Amino acid sequence: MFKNSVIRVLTNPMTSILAMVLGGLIGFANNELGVKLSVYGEMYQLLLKMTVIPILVSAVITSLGRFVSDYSMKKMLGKIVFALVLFSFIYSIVGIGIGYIFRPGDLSEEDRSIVSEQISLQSEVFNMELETIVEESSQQKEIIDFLLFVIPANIFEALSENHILAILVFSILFGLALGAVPKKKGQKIQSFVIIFFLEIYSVFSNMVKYIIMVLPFALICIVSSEIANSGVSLVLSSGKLIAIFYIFGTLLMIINTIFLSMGTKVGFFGVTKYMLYPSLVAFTTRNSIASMSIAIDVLKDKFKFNHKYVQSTMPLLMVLGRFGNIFYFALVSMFAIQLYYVQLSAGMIVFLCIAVVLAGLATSGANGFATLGVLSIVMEPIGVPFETILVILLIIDTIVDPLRTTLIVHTNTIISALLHRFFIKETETKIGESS
Amino acid sequence: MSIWLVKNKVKVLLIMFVFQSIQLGFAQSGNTSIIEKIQQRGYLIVGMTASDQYPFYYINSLGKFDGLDVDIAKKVASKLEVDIQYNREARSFNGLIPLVVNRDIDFVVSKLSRTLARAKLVNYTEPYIIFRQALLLNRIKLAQAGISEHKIPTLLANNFTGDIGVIENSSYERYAKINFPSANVISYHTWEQVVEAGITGQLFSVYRDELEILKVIKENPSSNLTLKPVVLSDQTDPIAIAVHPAEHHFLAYLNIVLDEMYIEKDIKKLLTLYKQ
Repeated sequence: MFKNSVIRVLTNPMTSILAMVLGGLIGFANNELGVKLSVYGEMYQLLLKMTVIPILVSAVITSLGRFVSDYSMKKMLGKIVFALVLFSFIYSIVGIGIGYIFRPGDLSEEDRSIVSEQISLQSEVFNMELETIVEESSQQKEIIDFLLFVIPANIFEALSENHILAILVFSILFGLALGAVPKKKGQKIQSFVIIFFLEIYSVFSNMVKYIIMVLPFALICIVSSEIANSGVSLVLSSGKLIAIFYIFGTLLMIINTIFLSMGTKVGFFGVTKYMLYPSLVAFTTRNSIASMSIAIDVLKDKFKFNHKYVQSTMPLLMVLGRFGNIFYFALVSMFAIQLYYVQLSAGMIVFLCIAVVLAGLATSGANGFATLGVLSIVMEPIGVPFETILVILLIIDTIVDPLRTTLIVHTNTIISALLHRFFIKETETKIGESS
Repeated sequence: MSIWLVKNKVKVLLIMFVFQSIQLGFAQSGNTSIIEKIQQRGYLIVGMTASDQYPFYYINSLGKFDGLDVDIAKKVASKLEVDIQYNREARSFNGLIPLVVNRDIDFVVSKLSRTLARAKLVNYTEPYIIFRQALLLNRIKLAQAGISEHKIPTLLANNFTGDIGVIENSSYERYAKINFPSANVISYHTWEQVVEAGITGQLFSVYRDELEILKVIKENPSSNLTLKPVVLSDQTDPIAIAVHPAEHHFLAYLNIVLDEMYIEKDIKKLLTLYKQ
């Protein structure tokens, strides 16, 4: 049927790649058109963003509700948490190790000047009055303040202010409590609530699917406007950091894919083919929650996994598995340390490994440049001037964000698949076979 | 004698009238405005210090004498329709004051600070640019002490005990001791030495006017990574033109010229407007 073949073409990764190339050519050849098209790209991003909170809330509530109420899922919880912690620390340590070996922060004097110039262009000179009476403000940021910040007093206020962490805390607590309500015989209330949120999830997830169908067109607009607007010099100076991130980030994804595909019927290339579409969606939309729906479909349809399992594990993983951010933060920490010639001690390295994981965790649910502020908890204790680093990171973020999101989506999908392969014995399906 | 005066009233009145006119005539030429003198002379004599001060008066890369003060002098000259002659004898800023008092020069436009000591001897126009005092703080030392940007006022205003680098025998050596009484003030012979100590991380801070502070960042491009400029917006250093204390009309005229000129007040923009 015509409609089906159109859909197949639109959702084919090659179409999206072609669209990106076309967008790039337009942006390069006709600057004005590229800038004009940026509005449509923004509209598209907003449409996707619109689905983030409903999907996040419904997915987290239903997934946690299931974990608590369903015995078979309860067994998985410990393994999921273990996998999350293990991979988080692996990414953190690998990131620090690679940063240590390949030295992204070793800039030439010329590059230091360019970076420095960009910083002074982007920031206003700090003005202060010497003769006003300044009170000693004890603004010590303690962990307790962070917790106060993150627990919402009013959930509707948190929802309307897009306070992602507070929304997450609420959803987690709600989901856990929901699952813990004892099932009385004949009483359907608990199931009703779970079904309600499941339906919300499937509605918005469908919405995402339709929106993603027009991704190629949006890509033309997005890529052309970005090429038209790009500022090249700072990018080149921090090029080493960006290149290291891209090369080793991709390497990590390849290693994960190899790990998953060992002993499967479809092998490495088959798994890569399945993973290509969700990865591409993540790379181009930079929206990990929207990409989650696509990834879940791939796990259900292509990998043929247990639907209940996938629906329950993916939201939890996507929210807590901030692997792209962890790996990037680790590299950035080493970049900053090298840029400022800070002496590394063993204690500092241990601190970095842990702090980077915590910083990554603090970016739960959110994405994009707003999350870069959490790096202060890593930089300040080691005496690195964070203000200047932040300016650099904000400028290069449009280039780095796509891969950060892709790493998150890809790694979480692989972890979900790995756990399914090794621990779900009910259906005993091999990847690639139909159940 | 008195009878003769009464008898020849008309002749006496005529003689008195003639004497008055001559006297008035002499009075006029004794009070000839400096503006008229300049126009009769055909050129304006402008006083500036011997050494160049970028971006106020300096030789640019094309060999042209350029700068904000040069533009002001040229404006006055063009309005009076005369040429300019620059008197660069003065080796210091204070050295310009006797020159204008002795009428060797018509006025001083030379990045001259308006101070009360000098104002006793000369007449100042309204300031055409106002510098604020500024510091360069070492970012690494700030980070190690856990001081983020919003904590800097607390650090500086409440018993600041760090090092402050200044030029010896300069006004900023004095300002440092007044504004930061608990700090460790370290004086160097030249500004270059102060800047060197600041860049290499030997000092917590360096103190001068905001123009010189921003020039450090501009001339040492990679220094912004390690040095943070901080402007003290309530500590000012006004720059004005000085004329002879008796020349009120000329002073008023210069004030109008300054008012009608567009003068870039923003320091950062000033540095980009005038290219070295």
